[in-house]
Amino acid sequence: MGKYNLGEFEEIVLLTVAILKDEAYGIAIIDEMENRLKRSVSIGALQTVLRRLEKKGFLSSEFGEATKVRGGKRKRFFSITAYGKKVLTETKEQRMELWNAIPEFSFSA
Amino acid sequence: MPKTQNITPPHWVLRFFRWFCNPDFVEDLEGDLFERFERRVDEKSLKAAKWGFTKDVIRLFRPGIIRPLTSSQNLNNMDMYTNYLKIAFRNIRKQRISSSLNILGLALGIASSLLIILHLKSELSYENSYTNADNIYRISSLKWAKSSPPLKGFLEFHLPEASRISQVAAFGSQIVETDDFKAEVENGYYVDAEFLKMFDLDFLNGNSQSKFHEPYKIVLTETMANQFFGHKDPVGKVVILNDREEYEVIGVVQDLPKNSHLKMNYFVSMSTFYKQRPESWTSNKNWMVTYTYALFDDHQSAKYINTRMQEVTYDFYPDDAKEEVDNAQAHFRAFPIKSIHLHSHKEQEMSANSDITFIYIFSALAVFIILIACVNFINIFTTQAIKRSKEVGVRKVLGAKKGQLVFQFLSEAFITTLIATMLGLFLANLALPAYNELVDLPISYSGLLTKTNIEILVGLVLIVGFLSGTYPAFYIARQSSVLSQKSDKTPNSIGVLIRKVLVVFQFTVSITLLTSTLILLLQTNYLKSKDLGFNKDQVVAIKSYGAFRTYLAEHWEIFHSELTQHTSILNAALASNLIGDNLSVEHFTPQGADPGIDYPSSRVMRVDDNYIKTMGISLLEGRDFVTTQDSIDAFVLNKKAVESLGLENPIGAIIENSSGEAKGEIVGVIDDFHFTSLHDQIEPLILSYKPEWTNQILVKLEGSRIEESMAQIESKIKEVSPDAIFDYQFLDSRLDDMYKAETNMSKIVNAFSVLAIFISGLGLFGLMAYVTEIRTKEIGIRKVLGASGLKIVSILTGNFTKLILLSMVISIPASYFLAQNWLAQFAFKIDLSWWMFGVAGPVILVFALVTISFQTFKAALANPIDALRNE
Repeated sequence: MGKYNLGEFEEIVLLTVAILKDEAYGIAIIDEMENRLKRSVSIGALQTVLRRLEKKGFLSSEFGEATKVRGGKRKRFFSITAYGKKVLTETKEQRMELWNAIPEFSFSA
Repeated sequence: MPKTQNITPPHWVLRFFRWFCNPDFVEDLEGDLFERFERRVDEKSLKAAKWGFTKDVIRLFRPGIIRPLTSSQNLNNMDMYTNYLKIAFRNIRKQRISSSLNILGLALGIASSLLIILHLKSELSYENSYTNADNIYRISSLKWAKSSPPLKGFLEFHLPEASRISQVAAFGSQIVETDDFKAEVENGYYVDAEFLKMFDLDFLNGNSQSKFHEPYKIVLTETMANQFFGHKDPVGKVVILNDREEYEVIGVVQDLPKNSHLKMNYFVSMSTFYKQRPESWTSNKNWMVTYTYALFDDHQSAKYINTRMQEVTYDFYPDDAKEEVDNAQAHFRAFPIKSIHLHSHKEQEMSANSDITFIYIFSALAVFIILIACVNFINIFTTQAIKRSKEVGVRKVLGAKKGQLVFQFLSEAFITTLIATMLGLFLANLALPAYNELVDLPISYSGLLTKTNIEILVGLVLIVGFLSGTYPAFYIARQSSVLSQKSDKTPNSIGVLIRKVLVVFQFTVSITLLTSTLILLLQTNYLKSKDLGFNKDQVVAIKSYGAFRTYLAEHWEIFHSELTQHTSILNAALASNLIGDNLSVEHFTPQGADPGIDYPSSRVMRVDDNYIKTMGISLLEGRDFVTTQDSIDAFVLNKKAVESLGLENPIGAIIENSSGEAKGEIVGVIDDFHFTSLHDQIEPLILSYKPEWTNQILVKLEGSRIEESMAQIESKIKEVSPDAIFDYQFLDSRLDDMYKAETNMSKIVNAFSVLAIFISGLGLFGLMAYVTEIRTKEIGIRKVLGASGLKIVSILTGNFTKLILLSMVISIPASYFLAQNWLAQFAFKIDLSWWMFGVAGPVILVFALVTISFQTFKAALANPIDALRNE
């Protein structure tokens, strides 16, 4: 418990990568987050977190094919690792436990 | 898509991003940035997109994205370095000719610079070996190196800042006789006891230093002691000088260092000097005979002294008007002895001094030769390296960074330089004896590898390696890898321009050196062949001294007639001095002249009645001396002296000198002749008839039978004075000695300009090899299209010819300036004319064309099929 210390933003990024599946590269992740969460994300903030998650082993990445757009530069596609999935699941379970422990009346009131 | 040029993110922002971003992330992040930029251009405006791009980049500038400060890959680079070394040696071996040209050129450059540096070091080290050298000063007037004997006592009283005052006087060349030894020994000096202390000359043998205050005591240097007495202890023994006086040896001191203006072989106590001369002389303040030295405690007091020397001078000459002292340039100055060798050019210096100009000339020579060798290196090394662009390309593809390539090529340059330096050191060692002979200097063989010299060598390797390696290294490393793979790509225009500039530089220096050599040669020839106003050929000068001299004083008539009986001996004369000696300077005035008129002083030489005939000096007016008539003082003046004394009818006029001891009639006027070296103008000269005051016999021989006549003279002398030493020199070789500095310099410049030209030639050869190789295909195509061999040679040669012509033009003002400056030191010199500056250029041009012709003809005669069948 508590051994993963996943931050809020880190969790969102991990989830978004999971949502995008094979299309998760920098810009796509930002777009997805902006669309779904109406939250503006700076490229700097996102990239720092992506690299950190990769270093921790929650994400892995590989280059795609070069295209004519993007100045001929390749995309780096991120995908969630098994370890990442496990951490994500555990985090979710922790939250669920917490949710479940809430007496029902608190919300209805 | 005509606007593509514009639709790009801000250039410098992108560069900033690439600079700071972790190299692992650069590609995809840049892609992301571009994607967002392109989208913003579509959605908003170019301006907004650019601004957005900038903002994104700034937001990326944070830890996690910024590249780590230290490279994370701490790989073991040893293999890479070994590989560099291996490749370096392989290349040297593979490109054998150009590598050996390269190394040889550099080695020659280094060897010659090394020799020059050693030479300069020995010139600059004068007086360094005396402990007190920094604080010893010579006190002398502005014009004269010598001062008068009373100055010592005066300064001891008026110059309390000086801790020691010392005086020395020349004793000259004397015949030295001991039990085992008899010969003429030069450089004897009277010195006082303070002198030995000031220059820390400690007695090696003997301990009775106090005895040096007594007259007729002598101190010998080690070498002299060994010569005079073998290896016996000389202390207490007796030395006889000039067959007359006996001196007791009281001590032996070590030899004076060679790099000192003091050239002294033995020291006679100063009290002897006072004993041998009348008091009226030694108390005369105008008798310039002694050198005065003062030792101060520090620099400051010496500096301060010079500020009040003017007052001291006025005090010293209380009887003379201040104006008179000013006019005579009699003001004393404390002159540091360390500067004497290179900066002092006064009357009556103790030994011939060098000049700081020589130092400048030689330094420039060293620098230029090294530069020429470096230019060679740059040219050859660059061209060699360009052939290796495939290797560079492969290295780049395999991930070599620019810095690594620069490092590789720089280290190759250093390796080559190191090899060249070793070879240069070896060559310098070989050349050292010859060089010593050339410059007449004792640069020691063993002294070559001292600590400072090794430091100099390391410095040379670093400077040369860096100078020559930097440009090629960066030039190669800058090329993009794709281009590097195409090996026959011609270098870009900047590279060609630099190479042209370098070639022009080399040849400008070469041509300038050659022109200077020519002018040096012409001037030294002029010095040796100029009509001096007398006949210097086949005149032999014999020193007379002691018993022989006493004999001559009485029986000269008989000796002369017996000597000239021999048919091969044409004439013989007596003189007090030889040509080139420092003649005594005396103040003569016409009798009854207005005392208000200030007559310049004249040089005086004592001669007999045969001098003018023997020397072949032309008599203009009046008559020669005649033995029977000239029993009182009689004078013969040169034209200058007649002029300076303002005599309209010189013959019969009476002149007298300031002390009144010489007074007589002018009997004749002779033409001006050069009795000093051609550095100086001819001064007023008075020949005085005084055969008894002479100590040289001049004998004019018949040219064809010199050996016979010499034997004749010797037997004649032995006959009248059996113990006399037959000590002679030929006048013409003595005159040549006066221009030793010039002759030596001419030899050095000569040798080094040949070297410089040779090195340039090596460079040109290497360069041409490269150019023809680059243009192999072009030549092949030209030949296929029908160009003749000659046409191709002229195409290849044309460029270089233009460069050398340009060098010729540049070299003219440079060499004119040099020649003007150098010639300024001579009162008599050659006239510079245009052809002197026009000769060197064509010579160099022909040399260059011959050098490159090996390559050009090879290229022109090659079968085009060999050039074209590749690819």
